[in-house]
Amino acid sequence: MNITILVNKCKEDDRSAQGELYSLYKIQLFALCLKYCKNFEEAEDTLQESFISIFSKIHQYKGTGSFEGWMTRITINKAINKYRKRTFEKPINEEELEYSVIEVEKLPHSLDEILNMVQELPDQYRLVFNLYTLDGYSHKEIAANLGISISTSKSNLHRAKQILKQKLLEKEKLVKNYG
Amino acid sequence: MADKKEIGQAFKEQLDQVNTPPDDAVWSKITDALDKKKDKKRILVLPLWLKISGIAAGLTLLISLGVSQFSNSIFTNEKPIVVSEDKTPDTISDQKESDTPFQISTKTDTLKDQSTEDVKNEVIPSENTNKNVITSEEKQKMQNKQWPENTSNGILNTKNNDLAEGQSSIKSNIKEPYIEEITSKQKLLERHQAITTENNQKPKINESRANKDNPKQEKETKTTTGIVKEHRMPINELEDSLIFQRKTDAVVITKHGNQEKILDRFIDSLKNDTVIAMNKKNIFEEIKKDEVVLDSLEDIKRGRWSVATQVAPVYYSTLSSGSSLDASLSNNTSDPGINLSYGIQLQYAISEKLILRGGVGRTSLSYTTSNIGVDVSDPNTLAFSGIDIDTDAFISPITLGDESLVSLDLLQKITYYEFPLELSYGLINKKIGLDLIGGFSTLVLDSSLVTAQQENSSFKFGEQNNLNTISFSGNIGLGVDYALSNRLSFGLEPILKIQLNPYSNNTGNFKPYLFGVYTGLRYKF
Repeated sequence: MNITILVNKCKEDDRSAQGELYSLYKIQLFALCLKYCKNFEEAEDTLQESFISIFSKIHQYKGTGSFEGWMTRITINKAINKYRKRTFEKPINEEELEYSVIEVEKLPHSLDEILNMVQELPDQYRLVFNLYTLDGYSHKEIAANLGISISTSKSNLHRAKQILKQKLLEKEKLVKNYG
Repeated sequence: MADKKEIGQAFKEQLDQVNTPPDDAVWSKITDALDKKKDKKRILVLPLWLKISGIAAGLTLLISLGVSQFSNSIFTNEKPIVVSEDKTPDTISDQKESDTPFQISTKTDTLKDQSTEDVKNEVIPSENTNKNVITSEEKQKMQNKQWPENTSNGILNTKNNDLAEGQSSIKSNIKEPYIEEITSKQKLLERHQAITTENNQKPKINESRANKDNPKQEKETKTTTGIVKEHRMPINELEDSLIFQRKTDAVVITKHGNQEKILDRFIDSLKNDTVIAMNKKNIFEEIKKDEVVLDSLEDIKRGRWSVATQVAPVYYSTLSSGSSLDASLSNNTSDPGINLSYGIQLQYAISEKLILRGGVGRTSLSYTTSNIGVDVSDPNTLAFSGIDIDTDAFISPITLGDESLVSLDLLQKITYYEFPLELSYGLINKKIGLDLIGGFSTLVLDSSLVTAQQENSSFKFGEQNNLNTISFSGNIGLGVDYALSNRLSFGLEPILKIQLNPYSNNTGNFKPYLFGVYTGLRYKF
């Protein structure tokens, strides 16, 4: 079924249309939730809340921009709201630090292991890493969304990468020692 | 050579392949939530009615309880007999003469005072109407049915008005259904004038202190215990006659009244007022009724019902760290608020130690969450799950300038109508009492405003949307009671109230409690 028709039916509270929309997008949006959240259960909670919001506010979607992008934005916001600390941080005009590039060889690990490493990051680092690296937000946009300064966003990102690198090295050691 | 990649890029390539499906239960939860939202829309109008009816029901219950208790009381239209204890053996002239005609004590009084052995002079008729004497058995019966001790010298000389008031009601109870009206006042007057004063009158009155050393006073004392005693009609006349009891207005009897003046007054009163008569045969039945009435009197004396006012500063905070507005605010600094609450309570003493108390009041609470960073250019940063933002009120007052990131404090102001229902157990029951208090309150939400405060200005931010209209709290506390008088006492009660189900949606792990120090006056009636 055409997405537009499906969306229109959902606007009329058509339960079967809603079910079909859910089936079409659940994997994609759940993947998003798994990366932003700490674990499987919290990812499911976030997915649930996201779809409830999507169906409740679907009449607000006027057709400008892709519907998929609209749903993605709602899902990311739900995840951000779950973990961000809304403590005010006054923007500091400090010199921008240059951060070195962190490189790795091809990752031999399983998908689950990679996902776990990201989920284990501290909340704010994980959010910044996801927004910048996985979803392509700028530091300025990240700063506005999380209520932090741009420099904080940059330093958080660098710190997240350092932690991930460390985890990779520890994993490699384990593999070497125990085959 | 190993292919090196920037770490972020390496992770992205891997994570783009995630395709784990969620559990099937997630869809059921989504549909349930959507159905609930539909139902919620339908019953939106109800909360207001619920609030109003809840308050009305609570008030109606309290008022009807109070009214029913009053209407069931043993008080009648009779005015109370006020008895005062004179220090000097003075006459009635010192008392309120103008509007308090002399009171003849009831025959029942007289009966109970009797301990005489000089039965010949006893004018109280007995059940055995042929006898001129009261047998010792009958006397014993009468003695056994004594008044409370403080009336033992034959007068209601208690300072406790309760008892005096009870006395009048007893009289009024006694008057039915055994009352017969005297057909002729004239007969009474004649009889009265035929009465001779003391000859061979020497009845002992056990607890009459005035008696003991002063024989002259003995007469006087006797007089005030009852006219019947003093006026020694021939027994046979009395047997056929009726005992007279004056239907009274409030009167004053002095302990050491002047005998002659009392008689004069009695005559006057007979001329002026109607007299209610009683059938002598039913005296003992009436005594039994008196006992029942006495028990009720004791209840009154004990003061089972009381009403109390309450004013309290109430401290509002959370047992856990969290925020009721949004999960993202859990780590922000917060300031619990202290506000004034007030109410009124009706209390019923189930037993000497246990009191049931119900009330109605208005409770105000406040809580501040500080240092919240928002970007006024990005509406997403203004999204708080527990607040419905009033965007019109909020956006304009914010100073934009070059900086769109601002710091706000959010002040929550919540008011409830509270209906507590508690039990109070008396640990110490002296002039200063200590009680253990426990129970619960029904809380009906009245308003839940959120105000934003930025530096020196404050403005409406929105309304908190996740508070249940009706919620409950579990209450526990102590009460210190200081008796100011017989009926009035001052109370100080620190009580902790833990809210049980305040939120319809609590993602912020906020577990609210109220702590109030309730002070007020309690009046026993």
